[in-house]
This record gives sequence, structure tokens and C-alpha cells, in this order.
Amino acid sequence: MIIPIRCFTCGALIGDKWMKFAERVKRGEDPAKVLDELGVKRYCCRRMLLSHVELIDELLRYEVYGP
Amino acid sequence: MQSLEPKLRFLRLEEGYAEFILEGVTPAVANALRRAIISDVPTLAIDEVAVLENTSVLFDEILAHRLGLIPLRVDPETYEVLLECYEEGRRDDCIVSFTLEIEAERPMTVYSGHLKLAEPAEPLKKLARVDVKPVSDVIPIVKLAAGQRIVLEAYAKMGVGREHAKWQPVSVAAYKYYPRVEVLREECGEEGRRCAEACPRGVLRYEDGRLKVVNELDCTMCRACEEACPDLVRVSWDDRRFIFRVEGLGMIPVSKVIEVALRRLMSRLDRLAEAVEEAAKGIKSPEPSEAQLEP
Repeated sequence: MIIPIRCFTCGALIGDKWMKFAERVKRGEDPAKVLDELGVKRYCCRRMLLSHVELIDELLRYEVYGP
Repeated sequence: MQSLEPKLRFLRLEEGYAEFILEGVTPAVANALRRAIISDVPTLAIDEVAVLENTSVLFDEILAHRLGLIPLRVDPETYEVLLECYEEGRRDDCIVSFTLEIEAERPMTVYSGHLKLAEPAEPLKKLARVDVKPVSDVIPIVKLAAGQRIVLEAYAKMGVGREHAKWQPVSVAAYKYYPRVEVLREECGEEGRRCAEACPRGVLRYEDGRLKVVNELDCTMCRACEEACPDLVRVSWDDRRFIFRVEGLGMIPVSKVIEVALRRLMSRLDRLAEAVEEAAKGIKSPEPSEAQLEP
């Protein structure tokens, strides 16, 4: 739904790297290179970002509040 | 038998990462240290959340869970006070509170940086300043659509990793035996190239017909080189020496984590010694029977 804050396996912080990662990959960069540059070394942490689908964005489209 | 005088030497020490060699101890001691680092070093994490308003798409409990997982950086003086509090069993008195109040005018992301530190609890008031803040200011907590509101108070308490992983001060704490890689025959020709290429960690180097060990400490003792050329290299290890790697989460410096872990381990043993002494007091050793006294 929304990017997990920590890696499920090792507990390292990964949530704060999502915005940068998603933006750069969307621009067409190689995910492996982006992960390396963000300092995400282990494959447990890498899969957290690599395989994430930010579904909350889809949900927000149906949330109509206010006037 | 080698001497068992424990020694610790840092190979690398940064605030968030440490690599060190621990020697002169048995695997049991090394493992005790590893376990203490992971599960017995008290840290601060959000533990209770009072949700006053939440119209976001995430449930209150998911929100609270996410808040709990945010690593909090604590300044050294505040940490000492909080640690004392925890060890005296008064952890509910030493609370660090945060508030979060946000209404979205347009779609937005709520970040950890939006958390505001509230007035500190009584035992912390003696400190000149209480500097507690999330390790990173850009951890997404939730996303809001226009008009959605979140109002909450979050209370951070001290705890240990044994209770919940959010209190773990480190992500990775692991050790391996100190590897020993021996080249049996340095001048070896082309066979040496095959051997060096078999190593996934680049421990061996082949140059001008010679095989050399270049960075022994990187060896994982997988023995791929031995398999490739059995009569050229031999891999073994020293089971009284360990290479530790500890990766911190930035809550407190890794050197502090190791120090506190060892101290807590020792005080645990002291308490055990006292308990043994106490338990032995009540027991009288039986009088020797006459049969035993006879020669």
C-alpha cells in the first residue's frame, strides 16, 4: 500500500529512500545503479524498494473531501 | 590451548557502522555479545499513540505501527537519563512525546519531519535540552488527499529488541570465524588462475604465474577455491577469533551500543552470581555420616 518504513528481513531503514528511488527509476535510470547510489547494499533491502507498488496513490483518487 | 585473554580491535568504526575483531573468547561468548547487541540494548521508540482525528486511508493501528518503526535519534545526555530511568524500572515516567497535526489542502505526503517534539516529561526537565528527532526527516508516514486530517499525540518509551524489533539499535549484528587462507604452492602456473577466479570474494590473486592471498578477511570460508584446485590452497579458520560487523540504525552510535550491550551482559551475570549465593545460603551441607567418616 505505502512503502514500508523498514526492511522486513534486516530492519534497516528504507522508507526514506523511496521518493528518490521512484523518481529516478521513473526517469529511466537503471534501478540497480540507483540502489547502489542510495547505499542499499543487501538484497533483502533492495527487494523492498524494487518490488514495491505504491497502491496508496490509487486509493487517494477515490477520496474526495471538502467542498 | 591458546590463552583466553579477551581482546577487541576495531577495523572500522563510524557512527553507524563498526567492524571489529574479537579474540580470545569462545563462540559462546561471541554469540552472547551478538545477542545482547540485538535484544538487550534499550533504545527509544514510539510505543503509544493517541489518535484524536484520522480521516486518512490508513487505519489508526497501521498509523501507530508505522510511527513506532521510525528510528529516533537521541542525544547522548538524554540517552543516559532515559537509560537510567529504564534500568530502574521507571520507563513509564520517562516519556518523550510528539505531536502531529496536519490538514491537507492539496494531496500531500506526511513525513517523519512533521512530528513535533512536545514538552519533555518530568525526569527529563533537568536537562539543558532534549534533542530527540527521527533519524531521517523524509520517512513517509501516510499520504493524504485534499481535506483529510490527522491529529495525534505519540509517546516514545524506552524498550529492548527482545520485546519488539522497533527497539533494536542495529539492523545487522553478525560475526564469523577469523578466516585463514593458505597457498600451498605459490608458483603454480595456469591452475592458479582457475583457483583465483573460483573465489567469489576476490580473496586470491593470480599474477605472473604466482598465486597470492590479497584480502584474507573477506573470505567467507565457502571453499570454492579448494574445490577448484584441492592441492593448491587450504582454507581453515580460528575458532577463538571473530570478525564482527554491526550496522547501526542511527539511534545511538554503534560504539555506545557495544558498550551498553557488554555492560548489561555483565550486570546480568552479577545478578546470577548473587542469586546463586543467596540460594546456597539456605542449604546446610549434610553432616557426614559415620560410614563416611570411617577410613
